This record gives sequence, C-alpha cells and structure tokens, in this order.
Amino acid sequence: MPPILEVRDLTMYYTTMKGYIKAVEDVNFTLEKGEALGLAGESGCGKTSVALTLLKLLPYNAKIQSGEVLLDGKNILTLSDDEIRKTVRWKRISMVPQAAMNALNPVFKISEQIVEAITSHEQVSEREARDKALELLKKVGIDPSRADHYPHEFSGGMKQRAMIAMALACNPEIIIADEPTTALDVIVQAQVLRVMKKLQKDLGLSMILISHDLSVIAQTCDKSIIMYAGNLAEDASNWELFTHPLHPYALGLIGAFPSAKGERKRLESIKGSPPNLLDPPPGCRFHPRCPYAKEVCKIEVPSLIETHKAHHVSCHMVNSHPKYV
Amino acid sequence: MYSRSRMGIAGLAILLIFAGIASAAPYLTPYDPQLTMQLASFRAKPEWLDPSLPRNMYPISDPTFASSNSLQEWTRVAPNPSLVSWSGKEGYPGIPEVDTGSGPGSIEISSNPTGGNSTVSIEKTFAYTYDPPRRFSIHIAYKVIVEGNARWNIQVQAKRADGTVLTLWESREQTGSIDWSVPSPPIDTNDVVLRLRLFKDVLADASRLFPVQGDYSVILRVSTMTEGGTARVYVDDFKARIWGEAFGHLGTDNYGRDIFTQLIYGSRISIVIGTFSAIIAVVLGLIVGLAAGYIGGWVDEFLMRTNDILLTIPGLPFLIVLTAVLGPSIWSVIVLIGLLGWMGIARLIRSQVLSLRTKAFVEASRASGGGTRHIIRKHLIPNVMTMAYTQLALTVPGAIVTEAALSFLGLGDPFLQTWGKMLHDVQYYGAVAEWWWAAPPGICIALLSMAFVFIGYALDDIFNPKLRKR
Amino acid sequence: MRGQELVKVVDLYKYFPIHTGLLAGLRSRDGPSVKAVDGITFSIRQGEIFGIVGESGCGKTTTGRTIIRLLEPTKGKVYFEDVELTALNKDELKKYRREMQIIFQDPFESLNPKMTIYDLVVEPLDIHGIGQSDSEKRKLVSTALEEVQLAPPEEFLFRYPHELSGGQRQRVAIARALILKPKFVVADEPVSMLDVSIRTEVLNLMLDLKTKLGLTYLFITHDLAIAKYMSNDIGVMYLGKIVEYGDVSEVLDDPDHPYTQALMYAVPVPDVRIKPGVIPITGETPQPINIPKGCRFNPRCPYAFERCFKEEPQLFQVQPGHGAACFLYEEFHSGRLERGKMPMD
Repeated sequence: MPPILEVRDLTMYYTTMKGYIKAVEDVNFTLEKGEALGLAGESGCGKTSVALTLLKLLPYNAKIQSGEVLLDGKNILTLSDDEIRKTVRWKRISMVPQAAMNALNPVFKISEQIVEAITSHEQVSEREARDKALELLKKVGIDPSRADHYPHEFSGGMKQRAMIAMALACNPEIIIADEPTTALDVIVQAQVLRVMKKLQKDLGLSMILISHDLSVIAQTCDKSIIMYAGNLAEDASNWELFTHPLHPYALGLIGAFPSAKGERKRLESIKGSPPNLLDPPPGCRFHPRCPYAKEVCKIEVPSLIETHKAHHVSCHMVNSHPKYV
Repeated sequence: MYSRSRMGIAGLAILLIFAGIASAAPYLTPYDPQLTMQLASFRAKPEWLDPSLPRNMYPISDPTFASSNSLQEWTRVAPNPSLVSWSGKEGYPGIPEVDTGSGPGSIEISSNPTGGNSTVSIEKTFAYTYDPPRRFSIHIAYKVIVEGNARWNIQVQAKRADGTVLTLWESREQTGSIDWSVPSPPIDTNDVVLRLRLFKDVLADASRLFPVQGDYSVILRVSTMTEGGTARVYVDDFKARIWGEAFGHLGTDNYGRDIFTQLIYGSRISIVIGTFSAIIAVVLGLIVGLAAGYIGGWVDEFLMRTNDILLTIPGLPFLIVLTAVLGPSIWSVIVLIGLLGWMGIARLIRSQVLSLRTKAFVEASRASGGGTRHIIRKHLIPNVMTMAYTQLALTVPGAIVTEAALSFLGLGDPFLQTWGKMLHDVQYYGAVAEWWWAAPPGICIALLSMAFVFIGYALDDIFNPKLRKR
Repeated sequence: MRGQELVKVVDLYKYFPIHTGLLAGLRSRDGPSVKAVDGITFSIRQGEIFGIVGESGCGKTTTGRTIIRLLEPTKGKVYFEDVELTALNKDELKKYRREMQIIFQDPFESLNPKMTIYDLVVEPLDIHGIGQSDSEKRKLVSTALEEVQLAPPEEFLFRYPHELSGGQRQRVAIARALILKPKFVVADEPVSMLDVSIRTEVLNLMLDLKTKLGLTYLFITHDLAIAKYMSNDIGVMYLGKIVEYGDVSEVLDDPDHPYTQALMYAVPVPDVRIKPGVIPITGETPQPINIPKGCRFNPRCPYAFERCFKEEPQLFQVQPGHGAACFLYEEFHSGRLERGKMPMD
C-alpha cells in the first residue's frame, strides 16, 4: 500500500531583514497508514517548520522554495489557501500545536471550543456537534460531565487531552503532535501518550510526533527521523535507530541522553552548538561538530542514501563505507 | 537603534529646532517679549499680510540733531538764514536722554538781532506711500532763553499732500525764558482733544492727516517779537512718527509688543517648565515606586493609598486653587505640576519593580549576600531607568499643556509671556479673528508636545522590543 | 568521597499564606495557605550529590530556597556544619552566604541583562569586599570563567548575557556561584531549559567541578534520568513531604513507595527494548492547598487501606539507608500483610 504521506525534497526558507533563514533543506520522508513517526531534534532544527509546512500554516515571511507533499499521491502544496482550508486542514491532517494548553480561550467552556472546531469545518447542527464533542472527550479519557468546565478548571494533562480531542474533531487521517508532553509531569505525560497510542490504534490514525525528548520518541513511535539544522540526518525504524544509529549526530544525541533505568555511565556531549541558519556551514551542516569530519564534508552536501530497508542516512562517512556503497 | 525609528527622529528634530530657537532667541529678535512695548500700533498686523498697510515711519532722520549736518534735511524759510543754526559741540555726548534735550546738539533759532518781528520755519518733506495711517505723533523738546523784552511762539505743523497746513500744536505766545519742556498733552492723534480741535470729529484718526499717498511735510514755525531784547529758541528731540499698522513677522499685541518675539521666548519657558516639572514628577515617582515595590508591606500600603488619594484629586481645579492661594509665579507652577504628576509614574515603576523583584537575578544577588540597598542600586534602578526615561518624555507634554492652561485662565505669572499667556491675551482682548496671533502659540504647544511624545514612543519601542513590528 | 554531615534539615516547614496584604496580619495564622514544604528531615554528607526529585508542585524548589534561607522557613531548623543557620541574624547569615550558593533554572532570567559578564561574576566579590584592586578582581573573575570552560576569559568579560548561548549563560551562573568558593551548592533544575546536547556538557562540568573543588550539591530536578545520572542519594518528594529516600540506584531500580513505583513505570527511556508499563495510579497531582487527610497519596494509591486514610505515615526504613513513608512496609515488617499479594511484585 502506498504511504499516506510522502514528503519529497522539501525546502523552505524564512525571509527576514537579515537574509534567508534556511530552516528546512531537502527533507524527504514517508508516513505509512497507521504508523507513528517520530520527528526528533534539538530546538531550531526545523521540525516545527516541517509540520507547519505540511499544513501550510506558515507565517507570511516563509516561502516554500521547492518540494512536494503528497497526501495519498496528490501534492497539497499546489492547492490554494482556500482549498487547503476546506479539504486538508483539520479534515485530513490535523495538528496539536506546542504548548497547546495555552491555546484554549479562557472565557469559553471546553465544550464550546470543541463544538466551534467542528462546526467551522463541517455542516452539522449544534446538537450533533455537541454530541460529537462529548464523544471525543470520552475517547481522550475526559469524563463528559466535565465538558462544560472552563479551561482553568482543567489540569495541564486534561487540557492537553482536550486539545487532542479538538484535533480529532473532523476525523482526520493524520495527526501531528508538536511537543505534546513537554510541559507535563512524568506521570501525566505517560497518561497522555497512552491516550494517543490508544487513539492511534482504535481510529487507525497515522501520527507524527515531534519532540526533542528522545525517550518519549523511543517509547511511542514506530519509526523516527532525526533532523539537524534543517537537514534530515537519519531516518529509520525506532529499533534500528536506537540500537544502531549510523549518523554521527544521531549517535551523539542518543549517547547524550541519560536513562532513568539501567546502569549509570558517563555521557558524552556533542561539542559546539547548532549553527546559525542565516549562514549555515557549507557542505554537511554538522561538520564543525562532527568527530569524523573529512574534507569532503566541508564542501559537499551528503545525499540521503538507503543503507538498509527503510533506513536512510545522509552522511559522507556512511555513504563511503564499503558496506553501503 | 533609535535612529531606526522615524518617529523618534522626527521628534528629536522638532525638539532640536525648538531648543535652537530657544537658545538663539536674543539673536533672532532684538526685542524683549515683556518689556519692549509700542513697537507699532497696538494689534498691528504682520508685515507680509498686506504690503500697503502703513509701516512705522520716522520722517525726521536725525531727531537729536547730533551734528551740524543735521540741518541739511530741513528746508529753511527765514528772513535771514543765519537765524537758524545748529547749536552744540561736536562729539559732546550731551545730556542723558530724558524727555528733554539730549544728544550733542540742538537747533537754535534766534530772534532778529535788529529787533522786531521775525518768523522762521524749517520744514521736512517726505513721501508717504502707504495706506492712510491711524496714528501719528510728534515729540519735541524746546528751551527758550530770553534777554530783555521779547515774546515768542512755537508752532508744530503738518502740511498735507494737497498743500493744506494744519497746526498740530503751538506753545502760545509767551515771554520769558523756560527750561527744557515738552508739549503737554503729547502731540498724538490718539489724543481726543487734538482730534476734536483739528477735525471736529471724535472718531477721526491720522488718516485725516495723511489721506492719500503723496508728499507731506513736518513744519516747525518759530515767531519772535523783540523790543530791545533777544530770544533764542532751542529745539531738540524732534521726533515725528507715523505708527505702522503692520509690524514684524506676526504683528503686535495689545501693548504694541512684538508677537513673534513672544513666540520665540515662549519656547524657552515651555521647554524649561515642561522638563523641570516632568523631572520632579519622575523623580518622585521613581522614589515612591521603588520603595513601595521593593520594601512592600506597610510602606507599600501607605504609599499606594496616598497615591490613590492624590489621584482622585482633579488636577486642574486643584492647581487653580493652589495658584490662587500661593500667588502666581513660574516656580510654583513648576513645582505644583510636578507634585501632582508623579502618581501614574509611581504605579508603573512599582509594578515593574514587583516583577523585577521576583526575577532570578535579584534572588541570585540575595543569595550572594546582597542587601536591600545593594539590590535597589545595582539591579532595580538600572532596569527601571528605561521606563523612567520613557515616562519623562511622555510627561513633558502634559506639563507644557497644563502650564498653558493655567496661563490661559490667567493664573500664570502675569509678567511672563508664555504661549499660554499669549492665548490668554488673545481671548482677553477679543482678538480671536487675528489668526496670526491666535494660532501660532497653540500650534507651537502642539508641536513641542508632539515632539516629546514621538521621542517617548521611540524610546518605548526600543526598550520594549515586544511592541516592535517585525 | 563521602564524609560527615554537611547540611542537616530537621522538620522543615514552609507555608505560603494565601491572603496577603493589610488585613493578613489581622487574620489568624491558620488561614488557608499553600503548604509547599510540610515537614521534611534529611541530611546531606560532605562531598555527595543529594538529589531531590518530584513533579511540579511537590515543593522541591521551595525546599532548595528555604534551606539556604532565600525564603524564611515557617518552622524547622537547618544546620550547616553544626551551625544552626535558621537561628542566625542578618549579618551572621551574610557571612555564611559565602559557604552556600545556588544555581537557578533559567539561564535567561538569572543574569541581569544590563550587566556585563564581568559585572555579574564580580558582584559576589564586591558584596563581601573581596579583592583589593580592580586587577585582582579581574584575575579572580577570569579564573572563575576558565573553571567553567569559558575560555579565553577576555572574550567573555565584556559581553552581555544576550550575546551568549543558553549553555554559556548557565556556565556564567555557575562561575558566579563558585567564585566565593562555597562548600555547598543548591542546583535548582540547572539544565531543564537547555538544549539536550548542551545539558550533558553542563552536567559533566558540574560533576568535574565537584571533584576538583570538593563541592557538595543539592540537585533538584523533575527528570528522573538526570537525577540518576547525577545523584548519590535521592529523596522523592510528593506534596511537600519526602516519601522515599536512599541510594539512587536502589530507589529507582527497586522503588518501595507506590508513588516512586508509578514514576518509574511512567518514565520513558531512550531504549526501545524497554516497553512502557501500565501506570497503576490515576489522576493528577493535586495542588498543595487541600492536602488529603492521612497519607497524602491515598486518593491515588492503588493499595490504600484503612490506616492510610487516618494517619500520616512516617519514613520507615525498609532497608538500611533506604526508607519509604508507606504503611505497607510496617505491615509487612510486622507480618500483618504478605508480600506477593501485590500486583507490583
């Protein structure tokens, strides 16, 4: 079955007074139906920009330079704003943005806000919308009796789940969750993630989970892509990625994560800091920090090659390894 | 960064222009705004308004007869030219100016040495090219030395373009000497008696003297009659003046003071009042805000309730009462505006201090052992000064306008011509239609206030980057 | 190297009254208040890192600040090297401030944006009158910057905080904390606002400095993984009380208190081999205003029985050096309940 979402050679820059911020450069990945894809990387690597590009929710100074986003084979980047709003956004691809709990309007009841999300996309009566809203809240584990409460009466985890319910209002096929657990406590985080996995299974949703927290990605997703400074570094199933990472950045990042379980060992950090995207380093953007950098890395951008089935890496060292040539 | 704000540049430019005008005032105008009166007719219009309006004219070039050449402008009519001579010492500074003889010299007109009647007149002719004037005045000082038996009479006359001669004043035939004297009442078309006598019309004015453009003359006629005596008449300070109906860039006010001068000097006062009041208000606001915000507790409650109480007092009425009680003076105005303007600033500073107080870097300072004074000095004040500067810029316009309001109501210093006072004069003397007098002070108040507001907004933009547009 | 007790906390309480202002003094002292720290006792040994973990609202941040008297304790005593800190007056306390320092969570907020790096790091010296001349002070500041690997120091001395990255700012904060050569440092979530790859650098720096300068840390964090990486002993806090304490590996690998067990079930790890477990508790942590009667965990505890609703459990030593505040262990110990009947085991 063809993947439900295919992103090809996506490049997007932000225009600012100082020049172009090359936020997303040549990103390629696929998402299968029912799959949970993790989009990982540090702040500024471009993961949120990719998500916003998929929904064309970019600010006015962002410009998509090239690339395609194929939803069921059709490129949605060519659609007009109106068409995207009517056919794609919220109906087929939906999003739970960062710090979503703060996106709730404090003067309206939770139920009213979900109803508004429904009625602005579908032609249904208020009655029907409200029934749907209560049903959604139940799905995310919120008792319908609390539907008419105001946001300040909900705890952080409940607000997050309410936002997930809102994202599901129009039965989308793909849901993008941007840092859904960052502001939450450990136990609440686990509850929210469990709800998301359950929904994914019950509703056959495909999910893109964006996070800088590799532990969350390791536990929740089926496969992940790691981004660095706007580029895609490595793309593999979680199993392969976490047991045999190939890209030096992926290696470094995973090695820099402490684990609450298992034995204590000294962690190694990655020297340096992420580059300024106004003027990224030539060639491979990671080369100033890479312990394996060679001359070619400073000049040529490494291409994405498939090292194993469904495992892609963009690194000269990997590319030139006899096993993968 | 300030240079990137167009508003800020505009504000600063306007302010610099006003500051330049204020400091260069003595060079821009030779007159004193309060004291130099009677520069032209009262409520004269600006010169550029109508070129045919009469300008100040002084037909007699050398009224003090400073040298022997002074007589050259006069035409003499005398039986014997030697009877009219210049009397004086070249280079002699003369008697200091009083309303009597001044300058090194005067004209001496003698009686006929051989006795008998003699009439001598000197005439100064000039061309008059404007519309008929409204006021004309002549000043003359005369002294007569009589020896023996002699009688004399002095007349001051005007000859109109059509040739008719009117006697404006005469001393009446007298005998005996008199020391320096001046006509009383002064020879002035403003004098009702003179108007009645000359034109039989109370409402007449100098336009009857100079009805058309043409050549006119001022004549001095001295008649003497001696019988074995001599009479010598000395004349000095012989000034004739046609009062202008147009003067300067903006005309004159009710006292004949130059309005343009008042406008220029007014800028000094407005800037001074504005900034001083604002400084007092901001300093008070800073002290109260810092104390209330950082010390908290009872101090905070007390200061904030005082703040609230003072806020409920209606500013302008209160100021009116206070100036009525304390007497109007510019310093009391400055201090009062300052004392009633600190409350809003104190509140702003207090809230900023409250938010700064909980900031981690203040806690860090405390953890290092910093005490209250240290923290206020090192951490709070620098972070609060940005708001203080912005508030300073934004409070100045209020102070300027408040002062203008007080002066407009007549409660300002009556001896200080501020812009507000000018507006008061306009309204008081009913001169609202004279827009060259009424509009400029208001426009200047608005412009100067606007300059400070622009500067304040530009500062606000810089110090609050979140308000800036992308 | 673990030596004797450096810091001892005995029965520490910190309440924040809800109503403040003019009338607060007129009301009774027992008005509603936020019971941020509700009676904790523990000690930290010289040379060790004691971690305090808990979710938001558990009182860990308040504990850190109260121990060094940035906040005044409502009740209780804190001993530093056998000196009763809580009894000192302002001047005596100022001297002790040199011995204990704090590193804050937010590297952006803990540095005054208007001061240069030099000004920021020299401030503690100025407060305590250390350093006779400007050049001497400059040398001390440069040395401190080199210690935290901001080298060469000249490049940083006259920059402003906004010119530095988050990791660099946090190093400046560490330099500032260490310039007085303290013995004890409270680190309040020092890396939670930093990027992942920078965190490791800063944590490793803190570990190296501890060995080099003989420091003792109180390390506060909500991140169990970081707590495990850094700490020797930890205390798990819930709603203002320590519910479990002990050696970090013992507590986290073999948790005794039901809350700790739930935490360890819930915490994700960057390891795909470990499957996420079923969390045995429901609900979310309540606000520390209306604390449940009896054991404060009873609304959510899957094992709560009668006694849990009536009495508050004290810390019970399940093993030497490892204690949990849960009646279960008393019951096991006394034989009234049997292990093995619990789904956990």
